[in-house]
Amino acid sequence: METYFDLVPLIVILPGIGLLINLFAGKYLGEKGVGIVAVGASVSAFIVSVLLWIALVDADYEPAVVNMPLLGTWIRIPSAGIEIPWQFRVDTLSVTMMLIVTGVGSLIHLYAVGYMHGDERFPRFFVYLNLFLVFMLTLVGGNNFLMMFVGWEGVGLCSFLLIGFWFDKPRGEGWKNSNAARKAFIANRVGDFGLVVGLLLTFWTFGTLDYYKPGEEPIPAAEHAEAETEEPVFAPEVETEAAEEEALGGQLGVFNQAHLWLEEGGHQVNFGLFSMSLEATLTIITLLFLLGATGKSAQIPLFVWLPDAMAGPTPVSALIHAATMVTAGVYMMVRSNVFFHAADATSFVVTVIGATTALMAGFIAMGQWDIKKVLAYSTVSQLGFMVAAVGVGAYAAAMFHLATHAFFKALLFLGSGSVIHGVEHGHHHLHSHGSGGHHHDEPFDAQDMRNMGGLRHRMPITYWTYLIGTLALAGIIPFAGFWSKDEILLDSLRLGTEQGRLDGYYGFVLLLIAAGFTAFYMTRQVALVFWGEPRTEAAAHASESSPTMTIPLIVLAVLSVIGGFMNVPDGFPVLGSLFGVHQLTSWLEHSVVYAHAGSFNALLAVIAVVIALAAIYGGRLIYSDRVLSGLKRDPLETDPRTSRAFALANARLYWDEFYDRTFVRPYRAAAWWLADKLDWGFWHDFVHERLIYGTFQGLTNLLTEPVDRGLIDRTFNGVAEVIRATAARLRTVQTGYVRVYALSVLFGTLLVMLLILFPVLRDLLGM
Amino acid sequence: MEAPEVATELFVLLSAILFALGTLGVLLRRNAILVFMSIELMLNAANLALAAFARQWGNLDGQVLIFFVMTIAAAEVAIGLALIVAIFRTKKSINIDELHLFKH
Amino acid sequence: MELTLFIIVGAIAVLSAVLMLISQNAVHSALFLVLNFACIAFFYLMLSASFLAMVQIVVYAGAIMVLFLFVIMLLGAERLLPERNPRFPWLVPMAIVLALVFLVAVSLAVIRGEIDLSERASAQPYIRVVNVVDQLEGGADVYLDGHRLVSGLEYGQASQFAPWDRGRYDVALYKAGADPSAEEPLATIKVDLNQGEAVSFTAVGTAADPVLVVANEDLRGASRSDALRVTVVNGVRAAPMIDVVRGTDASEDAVLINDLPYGEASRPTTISGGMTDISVFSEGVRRDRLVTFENRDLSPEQGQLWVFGTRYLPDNSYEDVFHVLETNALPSFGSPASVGLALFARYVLPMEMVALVLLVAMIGALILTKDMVGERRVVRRRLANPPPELQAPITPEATASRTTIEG
Repeated sequence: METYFDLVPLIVILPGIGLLINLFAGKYLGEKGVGIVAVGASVSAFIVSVLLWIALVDADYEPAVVNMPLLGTWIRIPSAGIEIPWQFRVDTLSVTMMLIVTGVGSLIHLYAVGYMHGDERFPRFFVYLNLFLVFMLTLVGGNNFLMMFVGWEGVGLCSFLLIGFWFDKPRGEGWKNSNAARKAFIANRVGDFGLVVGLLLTFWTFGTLDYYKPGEEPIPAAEHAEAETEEPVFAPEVETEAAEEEALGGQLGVFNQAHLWLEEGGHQVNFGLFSMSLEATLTIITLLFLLGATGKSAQIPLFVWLPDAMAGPTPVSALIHAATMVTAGVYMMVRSNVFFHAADATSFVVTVIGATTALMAGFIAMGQWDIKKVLAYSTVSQLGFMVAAVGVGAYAAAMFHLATHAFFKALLFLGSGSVIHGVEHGHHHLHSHGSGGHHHDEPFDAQDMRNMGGLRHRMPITYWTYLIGTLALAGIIPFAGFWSKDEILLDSLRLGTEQGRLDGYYGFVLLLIAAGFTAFYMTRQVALVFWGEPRTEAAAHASESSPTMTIPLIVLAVLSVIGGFMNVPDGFPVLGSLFGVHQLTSWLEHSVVYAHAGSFNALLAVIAVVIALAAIYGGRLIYSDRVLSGLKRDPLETDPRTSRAFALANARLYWDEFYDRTFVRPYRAAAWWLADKLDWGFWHDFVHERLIYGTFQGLTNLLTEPVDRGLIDRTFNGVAEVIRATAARLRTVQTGYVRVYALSVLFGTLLVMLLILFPVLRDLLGM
Repeated sequence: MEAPEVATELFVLLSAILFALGTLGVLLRRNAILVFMSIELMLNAANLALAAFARQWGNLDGQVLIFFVMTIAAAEVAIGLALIVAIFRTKKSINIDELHLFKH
Repeated sequence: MELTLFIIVGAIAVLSAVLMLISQNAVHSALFLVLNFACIAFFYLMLSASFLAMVQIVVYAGAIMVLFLFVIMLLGAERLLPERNPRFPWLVPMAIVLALVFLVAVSLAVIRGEIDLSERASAQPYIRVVNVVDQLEGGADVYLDGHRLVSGLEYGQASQFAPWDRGRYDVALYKAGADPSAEEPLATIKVDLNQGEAVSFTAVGTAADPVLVVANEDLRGASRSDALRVTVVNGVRAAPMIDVVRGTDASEDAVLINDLPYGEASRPTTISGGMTDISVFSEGVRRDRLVTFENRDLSPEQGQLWVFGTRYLPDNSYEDVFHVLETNALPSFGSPASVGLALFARYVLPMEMVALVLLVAMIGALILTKDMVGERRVVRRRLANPPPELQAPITPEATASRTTIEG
């Protein structure tokens, strides 16, 4: 092993080993052992990511392609020119994702050890978590679309497993969890369909699914071309094992190939009966990719699974549905930036969808009572930000927001988990001491914010970290969210002003309003949970969580504070020189061809911050201490001006009901009809029972009765009867009477004599 | 030798009559000893025919055969009568209809 | 005459047979059977089987029927009750019918069946061998068509007459002990045997040059009681032609045989008997009297064969010999001699076998009638699958022994 690059398979293998150990030996290791194994696996993967980061820096940001050991080429059909290998790509984009996934993932693993304490399927939870790491890292680390798709599907599976982890909870709770898991899977499936068709189209167009072949360098964007020397498409002698392999199919990876063809212009893609221009084909491809992204990254129209996914344990929500899995769609689009750049129409759609989703989700979040649902819709909203950023071409900004969002959203989720835990402990504490008139059978929702309140005294660490997360999310300077959100807003506006694109304006306006909503509903949440006085006995008796849970909170809080400084925009005083300008962007530029740095507009920044602060202030006003104590209904609910809006928000804009009526019910009816009428009624009753079985029965009856019994049996019985009768008659010859025997001897002798005298007889009778 | 006065056919005819009578005796009499005697009669009838033809053809072979037949008849009578005596000891009967071991 | 006798005795025979069948008393039946046998014996006499007639009386009537009577008496089987409720009522009529059919069939066969009843008046030919070959060492072996008639027949000896079938044969003379397949015969002659002939194969001459002569003799007796028939064979080497004369003079009316060449036989000639001299004269001009045999008694026997020969004595002188051989050694048809001859010459093997059968029958009869009471071994019947109560109980020792065996 000459460079750290070769370590990249470990990033998948180490969590794999961890999950296998926990799978087979989990029940012998105890909670501590399982936790050590799982967290250790995750941490070691993080270490490998760091090493890869160092290696990349050492190698001057030149990407490396490393083959997976033991597994060679996955699909290889030389005659058709198909070659799809198990290859990892170590470049700045993938390493960024790896660091986020493993880093935040390790913290959440640690948190989960404390959170899942006492669960009877403790080892299995960590098996699933490690499995998720395996798939997620395959997704971000693959060098071709198919490997990404493997990871894509795999994380979908893990999401299903983990959402429905408590499928056996009593009193219908278990059913709710498994329903949520199914909903997530099915919604994702719809998106995956789009992604698969897009992959097929990609393969058809380019003859390969590799991003870049081993040794290939991304052709830089035109605006960078003058800044740097013309880099050859193929870098000289990169240390990869795959360099010697002959590239089958397309000689170039899809992106460079697309780039070259687009530069030539006029390339046609032949579909047999017709052909399309490359641009049109790319438009279709990117639209299909967008469909996949709306599924995985919870955008309109496929976002409906994410709020329901909150049924899973909180670490799951934090890891998968905030920090990592849901960002896969964004990653995928950023990776395909060459395609999206070329398809303007799609970008328009992307921006619109992203911005609309951001606003809509933000609106709904304002009317939710469940602490995790608020965060879920918040995630959807923030994902909308990222998607909109991709739509306006701000790929680096999207990745920046992805990273910062990972920090503070994970923090918020873990914090909410801590809160829920605390309130639950308070609830059990009550009952074990027998105080209060609470009956255990009465369902106590520890996630309902109405049952909380005043927890800042009871759970200080949680409170302060939560507060930091809130500020980061709201986009208050200097916390992390501000930087990334601001960049997106700026880029969006720029698109509108500089290129006159309508979607740019659209995105800007909606995202700005969404930012306001964000600040408002987070304030509302903090107020309901931490401010004021405890509204229930459980809240009054809540206790702070264990260090395994609070330490990740603290770490993430720190990251939420300083995380934004990784991409300080150009022109910002002080911090720019302190931390370097556009560190992340320039880092990403080596992989993301169309990443560009956004500059800093002070006015816009000020407007954004002011709007956020105003929203916070407004929230504090509405949810004052007086309102908070004895809160039965939301003030927005009671206020006639806002009651309608609140009802809408609380009802989640009736998305689920709409889907239910439009898709689920007809589908169920069709399925029932097919099952009952077609399968059971027709196939079974008619075809099987009457046609096949009935005919068979009839045939066998026919054969039995007349043929077998009547004919065959009678024949043989008849023969036997004849023989028996004959034998009975013949038997009488054996009289046992000597004289009769003698007579028969004489008779025989006479017969012989007459036979000998036959000629004489004949003469005698004159014949 | 002169030509025989009595034709050979007559002797054969006589032999046939005696043979037939012997057969009737075998078939109709129940006394085992009577049956034997009928058998002897048959043998003698055959001997008579043999002698007639021997004389007819001047060939002594016929007479030699008669000699043998007599000897064999003697042996047969010895054995047969011994058998009857032995059976009589157990069965106390020489009715040939009863000289069997199986049930009717 | 014979026909009348035949009819009478035949009727008696049939009658006695019928009475035998009908009689209720077993002893009566036996006696009737004896009468039947006697009739049969009479018929044997008529058929010139005298020996067999005697044997019939002795064996059948004397031994077999006596045995029958003994057994009848022993078993007290005189009376047997008539059959009541016959199980097969059709038996009697059926038997009678079949017997009648049998008779009809035989009659048909006899009358219309083209049995060869051609007249064969005479008996088979008889043959013998006479050896008058001078100085043949060890005697003579004579073969008839490869069948050895005599072996080592000495000089001057003759074999017994033996009956033979008609036909043409080759007769060959060998030295005694010679292998006919390897060596050439000393002399051969073809012969044609006919019925009623008695042929003597006479070998005359010297060992160096023997000659076989076929001498036919007449089997019929002489018409006059004081005459006899003679056949002469000329075996005098020195005399190519001889005359045989009665007395010593060669007058014409005393010549018995005229001009008999050397190595030939004359026809059978009738001459008168009495004491007389026989002289042999050589034919020719000189008519030398060769030899005179004085005072020969010619008794009127059936027939004679005269063989004249010369024998050289060791002291180089010769002697004239005159062999007379009787032909009446020929046994008559049906006589004990002829039957015995047939039995011991041609049918030795079957006779011995039949004798063996007789012996076995005797022994068998002895054994069968032996009183076995008290000696019979109780045969314990052993069951292959005895019912459970009879099985041996399974004891530990039994199982233990079994396991040790297996172990």
